[in-house]
Amino acid sequence: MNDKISGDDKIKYAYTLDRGKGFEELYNFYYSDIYYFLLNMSADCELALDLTHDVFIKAYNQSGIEEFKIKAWLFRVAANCFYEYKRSYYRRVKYYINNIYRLIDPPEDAEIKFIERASEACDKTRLRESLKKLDEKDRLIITLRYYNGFSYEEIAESAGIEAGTVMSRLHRAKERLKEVMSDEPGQR
Amino acid sequence: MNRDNDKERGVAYGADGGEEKFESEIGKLFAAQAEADKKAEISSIRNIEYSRITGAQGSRGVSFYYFLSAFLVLFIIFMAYNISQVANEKLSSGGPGGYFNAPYEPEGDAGDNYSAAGKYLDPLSALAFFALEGAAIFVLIIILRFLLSCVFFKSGALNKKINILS
Repeated sequence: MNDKISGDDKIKYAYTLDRGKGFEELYNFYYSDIYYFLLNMSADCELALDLTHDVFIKAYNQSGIEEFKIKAWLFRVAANCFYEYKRSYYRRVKYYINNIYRLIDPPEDAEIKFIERASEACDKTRLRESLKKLDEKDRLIITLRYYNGFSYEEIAESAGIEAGTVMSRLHRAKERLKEVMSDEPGQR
Repeated sequence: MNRDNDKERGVAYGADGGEEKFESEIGKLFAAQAEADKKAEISSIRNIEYSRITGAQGSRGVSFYYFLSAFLVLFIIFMAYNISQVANEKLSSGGPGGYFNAPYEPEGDAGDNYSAAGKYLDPLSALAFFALEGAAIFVLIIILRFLLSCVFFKSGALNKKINILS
């Protein structure tokens, strides 16, 4: 976690020097974390890419980002992007239009190969299929805790809830995950 | 652009005493997933996305959508207006000696003469018809996209997309 704190400091320092450099630092530091967080939430490699794109667009356009707790802010934005997608028909239509657009302007080879490799990685462990059976809020807490290695305080900041609620919700989410995994032969 | 953040993704083990076994099992599963994810080599896509974000300063190809939408709307209005105009002109010219196919129409058939019956084709209904047609084409394109994604990505993308929407 100390590395992350110093990482945020580095990002903030880069922002004070130059906005472009600050964003590059932030992007390099958090891109994979945000992508895999969204992949755990959605279990869809392409959708996770699209939502990650949206998160960093928001970060790019956000003024005064250096004043925020960057890590918590980014994950909160990512979670909100996912919730918005799930609840908004507009976002879904936008996602499908994006896909249609790719027929006209096909994705680069590197992108296709990455999606294939990422899908293979998902299929290998089937963990994300189990996560998908959890409630969205449970999935969020479990992912932040076990995949991203967040502390309770960091989860509370990112999810916008109290630290005490995080503990009870994490306990409940683990129980639910236990049930889901015990229903799947070969998962455990 | 080369620093990989994957190694910094930690896994928490055994935080709650009584459930250590399950906790460590979850930890191992997530660690295995993180290990598998590393093989996807995210740096390849990260660089592509970076240039998209900083270059486009907007959603992927968003200007294209604006142009396409504007074009489609104008096209639909233009077509609806023109067709309703032509149709009205034809109808108002009435029976024999009509606009297009006067030679083929029976003489003095007031039943087919919409003009005489006061049934002009309303430009608004024509517009609604073409808008519906456009929507139908849009849905067909989406279905086509699903089928193509199954062929191109070979990753059960169709099932995943349907699942995430349910």
